[in-house]
Amino acid sequence: MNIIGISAFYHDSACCLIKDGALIAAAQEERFSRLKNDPGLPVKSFKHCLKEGKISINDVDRIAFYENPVKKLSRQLWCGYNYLDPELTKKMDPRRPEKEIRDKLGYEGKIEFVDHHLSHAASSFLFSGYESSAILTVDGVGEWATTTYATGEQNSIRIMEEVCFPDSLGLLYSAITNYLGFNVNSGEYKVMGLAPYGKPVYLDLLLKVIKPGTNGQFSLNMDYFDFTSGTRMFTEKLEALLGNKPRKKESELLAFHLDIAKSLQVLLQDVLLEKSKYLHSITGKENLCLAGGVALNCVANGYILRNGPFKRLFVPPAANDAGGAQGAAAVVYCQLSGKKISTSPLKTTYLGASFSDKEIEIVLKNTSLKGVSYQGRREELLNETAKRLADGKVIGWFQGRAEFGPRALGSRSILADPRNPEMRDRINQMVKKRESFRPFAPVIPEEKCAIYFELDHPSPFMLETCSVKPFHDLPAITHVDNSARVQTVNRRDNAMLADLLSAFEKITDCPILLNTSFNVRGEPIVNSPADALICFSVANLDALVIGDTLIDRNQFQIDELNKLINCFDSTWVPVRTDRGVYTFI
Amino acid sequence: MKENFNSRKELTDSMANAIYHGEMSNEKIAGLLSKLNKDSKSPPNREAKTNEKKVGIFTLRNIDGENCFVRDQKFKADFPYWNKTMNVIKEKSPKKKRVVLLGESVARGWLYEPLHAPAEVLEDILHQHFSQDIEVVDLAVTSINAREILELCEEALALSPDAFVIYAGNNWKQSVIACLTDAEGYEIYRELVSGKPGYAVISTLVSKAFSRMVDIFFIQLKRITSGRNLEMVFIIPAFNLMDFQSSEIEKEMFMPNLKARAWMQARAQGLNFLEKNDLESLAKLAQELIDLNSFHSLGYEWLAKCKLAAGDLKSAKKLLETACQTAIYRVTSTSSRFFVGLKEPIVKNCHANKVHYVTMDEVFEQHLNGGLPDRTLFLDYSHLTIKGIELSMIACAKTLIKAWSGAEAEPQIDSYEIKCDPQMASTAHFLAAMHNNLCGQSFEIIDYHCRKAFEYDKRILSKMNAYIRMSLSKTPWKINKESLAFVGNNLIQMGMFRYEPHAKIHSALLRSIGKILRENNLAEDLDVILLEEHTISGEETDLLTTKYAADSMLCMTELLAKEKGFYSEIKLESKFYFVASFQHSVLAKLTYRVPGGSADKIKLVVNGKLQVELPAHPKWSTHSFDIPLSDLQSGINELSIHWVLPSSGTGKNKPMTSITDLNEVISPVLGEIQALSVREEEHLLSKPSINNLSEVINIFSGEEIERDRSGDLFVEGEELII
Ligand SMILES: [Fe+2]
Repeated sequence: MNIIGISAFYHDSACCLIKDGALIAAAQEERFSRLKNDPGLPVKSFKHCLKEGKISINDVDRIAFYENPVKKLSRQLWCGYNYLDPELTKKMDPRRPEKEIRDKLGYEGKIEFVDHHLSHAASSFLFSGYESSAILTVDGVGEWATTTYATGEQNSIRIMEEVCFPDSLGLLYSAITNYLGFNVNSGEYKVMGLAPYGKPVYLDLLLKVIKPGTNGQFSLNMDYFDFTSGTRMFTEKLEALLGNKPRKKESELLAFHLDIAKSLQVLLQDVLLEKSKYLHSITGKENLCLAGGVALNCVANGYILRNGPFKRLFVPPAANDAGGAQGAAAVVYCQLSGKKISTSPLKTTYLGASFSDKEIEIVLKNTSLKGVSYQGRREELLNETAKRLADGKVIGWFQGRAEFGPRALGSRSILADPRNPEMRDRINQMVKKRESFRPFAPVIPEEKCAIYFELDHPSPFMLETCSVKPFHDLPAITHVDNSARVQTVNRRDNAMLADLLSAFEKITDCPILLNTSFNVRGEPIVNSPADALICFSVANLDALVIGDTLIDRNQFQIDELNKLINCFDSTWVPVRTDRGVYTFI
Repeated sequence: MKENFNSRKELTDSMANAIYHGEMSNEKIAGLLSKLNKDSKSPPNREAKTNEKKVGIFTLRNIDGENCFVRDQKFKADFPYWNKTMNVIKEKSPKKKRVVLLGESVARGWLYEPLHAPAEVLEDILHQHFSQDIEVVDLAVTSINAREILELCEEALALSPDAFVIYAGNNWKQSVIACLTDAEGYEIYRELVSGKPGYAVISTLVSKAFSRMVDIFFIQLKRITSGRNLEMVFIIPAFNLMDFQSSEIEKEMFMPNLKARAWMQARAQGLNFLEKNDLESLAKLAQELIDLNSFHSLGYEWLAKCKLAAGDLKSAKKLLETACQTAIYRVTSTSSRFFVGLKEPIVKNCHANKVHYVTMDEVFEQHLNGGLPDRTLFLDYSHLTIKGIELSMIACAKTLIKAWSGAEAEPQIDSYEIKCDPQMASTAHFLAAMHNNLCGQSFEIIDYHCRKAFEYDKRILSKMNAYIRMSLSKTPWKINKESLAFVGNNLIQMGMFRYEPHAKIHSALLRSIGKILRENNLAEDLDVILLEEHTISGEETDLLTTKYAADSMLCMTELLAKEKGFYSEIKLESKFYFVASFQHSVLAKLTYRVPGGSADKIKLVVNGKLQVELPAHPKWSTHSFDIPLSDLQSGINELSIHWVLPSSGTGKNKPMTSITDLNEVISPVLGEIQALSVREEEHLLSKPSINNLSEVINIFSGEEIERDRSGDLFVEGEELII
């Protein structure tokens, strides 16, 4: 039985394939189309899924779409969007998902629509490996719900209560992100990274914009917010309340902004903790499954687990809307088969595109770059790589299948020595070209984790933070509040990376590497060998390990390549899809 | 509050449901929306226009007390469409006359600019007569349409011009179509699906639309320029009648008319006559084709060929103009061009509005002593050679001189062809070869331009060598070391990189380049590169990529493929190329469907040999089949799928909602492919040795694979009908 899951038309569209109960392929469209957060129908990732599943379009039993377009339209109308505006008609058309699946994918079979928050819930619980669990989903908005409380048993999910639009923790967080001068739908992560620098002195003020309600409910004071204007998400009243004009994009970050970020983060954590206690009280479960865009807030996730009533926590790597594809497909699979998902607990996110050494060689051969092939000499390759890392080199790491979800977890990563105090600034400046306050994440063998971090369980998807234990000096990956966003690996799930860590440890006595996503600012994470070569060149990394090949930076070669890339970029501007502003359409 | 929320939600729930089921009229929706939103804010507005004074990509700035229009970074994305060198347009000096040149890519001197531009040539010629007291401002913009030209005219008044020269009309197809009302569109639709040949209604409506469109243009122009002391010259473009042919896709497109089969049969016969050079029979048949489908170019083209052979240039011209104009009936994309139907309305309006005009076809014919415009004047369908630019600007200058001084001047200038930079001319011809290749033109014309490029400057060989290697390589051009040959070469960058998606492993362009390289001993390793890069040994190779699909740029299928997850074909034949080592049989896998279905069978053909016949199912089905070694050849192999004609008129049952729906009627999709892959059955144990390859392949000699196409078509055409 082959079930395709699709999420599309809002943000981060994605496609996945569940084949006979196993999630075997999943990818965000942006990785193929190279349009950041591509919201279009995932045409290319659909092809990827068929290819990975070695099936044809006739073999697809169902396509599961991650939300209900009629409910969503109702909410949009409720918000006041003018359905008859020709541009909006196209966007809001409740038949659009089906139409596009028929017209653009050519799919002839049955299509099932799964509610947005059920898709989120399923993306977590059905892949958690838990027999039974409480489920909390929190995001900006899907159809109506913004927060749901549910339980999962075996292969079924029961939603018990929901909080409806416009009361939304996700939108609250986005609105303040917007106020702080970052992009909505992607800058939230920056606000979270900024928070540890501030003090929660505005918590009391922020408590004026959100009112606690009975049970799982809460409500936003809509005098402070504007989710429909399309230009900004907050009103002048919020400015007045906080006593400052909103920060202009790219302008200097002041103590005020840091304090707002901290206050917001504390507010979010407090509300989530309270609501998870409520969820625990009505379900009595030991396990908690989280999903929805807010579940990407790994600081809050760790906080809930440490301070809340639940014993275990599961968060899927694609907790955002991209993961909705995975949840929708799982719901439909379980309904049709009566069985459970066989790849639960989800062990790996390596569900994207992969390239053979031959494909890599052919692309590389015709560039100005020269690499050394270590075919059949993997240990040697890892030793050479570890040596460079120990020498303080920043290395592009391109191996196997690409990750599904927003984080790079060792397939398309940039790696470096976490002990080096200059490393963070160096990577930030030359590679990420981004605000320097954000910490990088460490990757560590599962079995060594407890030596360095306050973490007693595996964290394969980098979705919670914990403290760095005393006496370990890891400046590049430790945040100001002594926290770190840990990814653990084992040989079973990623042998290459696990072996690299031990090769690095052999030289340095440190089994940890700094791991960040392999992309330059504003671009999707690299997907193909060509993407990797471009990023390596533009970012001027010290070395690139791509498949079995190791390429050391040779400035002449890189200059040649960059000359070409610049020339290309300056003469040919590709058409970008216009995502407009923050209409939650 | 909560109550309010719920009642509002109840309403929107029921609205959403009704909209989903198509049960709510727009009036009803509008009514409910106004009820819903009567006290809430209006929906999101788009950014208001700024009041800053601008002319195209230039905005008004005060520099040292002078009001200049300065290239504005805000419009960076549009820069590639404009004159590349002009950064500032200074305030007009009272001593000088200022001519503003507006127009499309033709008026920019596409493929020569910025090194050689019509505006400069015009200024040069005018200087002869008026010494330095005159200047020409170049506001020509690539791809600009009629409405945009008018907008630009209005903005350009801020430059205090003394004359406007408008050289436009090549991009007016959409404007003409937009002039048709919905009611007329419906009339067109009715006549199309009625299946009656002749299309009298459509011809009338379209010629009305030509006049209407031009009338509107001149009314606006008059409004914009009224009260100004302005001379205006309209240059009416010409089309490369002699040397620009319908592309494969244009040749294949047909109207849904019950005579489609008869038409196909006649065409097959015609190809036969063509091959035998039996022009008498061909002429009769061509007329038959026209009678069967007056909107297809082929009949006119063949008849024109016969007339030309008989020395009847006048009739040939008329026929070729009609052939060119049939493009108006294709709603699908086609090369931009000037429609002869626009000429009369423009001339009429020029007279009525005191606008001077120059008709380029007459200028060219005079130059050619009555001959029809050809490759000596055009690089492609409408872009001019250096000679073409020179002739058009002389004609324009004469008109302006007469308007200002009353004198009948005969400007004497050194031939630009002789004094031009040979490197620039060489590059332009090489780019022309590329562009003609994209437009699906013949090997003969592409080879002409490649050789012209070589003739102008032998150094172009290194570019050709790099180009063919880039094309054969799987490495994207952006990181391909061969592309370094083009960096810093401003001219070639211009057009070159955007052609990457169209770099097939097999094309007329590559064959021409291959031939030239071979003649210069630069091609020895090309066959090996091809084999190494594109081997299908042991690897399933997807043929639904632009590298292996045979279509040219202006082919509908490719445009569709960008958006879609499958390949849609509106031709009767879809062609793909793959590279085989000739050591093992090949396993091919196909998932296809035939919209509407048919009782006839589709055929899969490899190198002209029938492999399998498959039912024309309307739903996807997947088939695998072996291509035996005996049907393969070492190097490039051609795999084609022959679709079937729809059994009767198409698109009948679908209501037409907009004019673009005509697309489906005019060019129905004949077949769709969701997956097509090939793989050599077994892994090769060793790489094929170079020696034994060169004997059998010779891909780039240009002789081997060039099978007799017309013969093929005839045979297959007949088979299709039986
Ligand atoms: Fe969501």
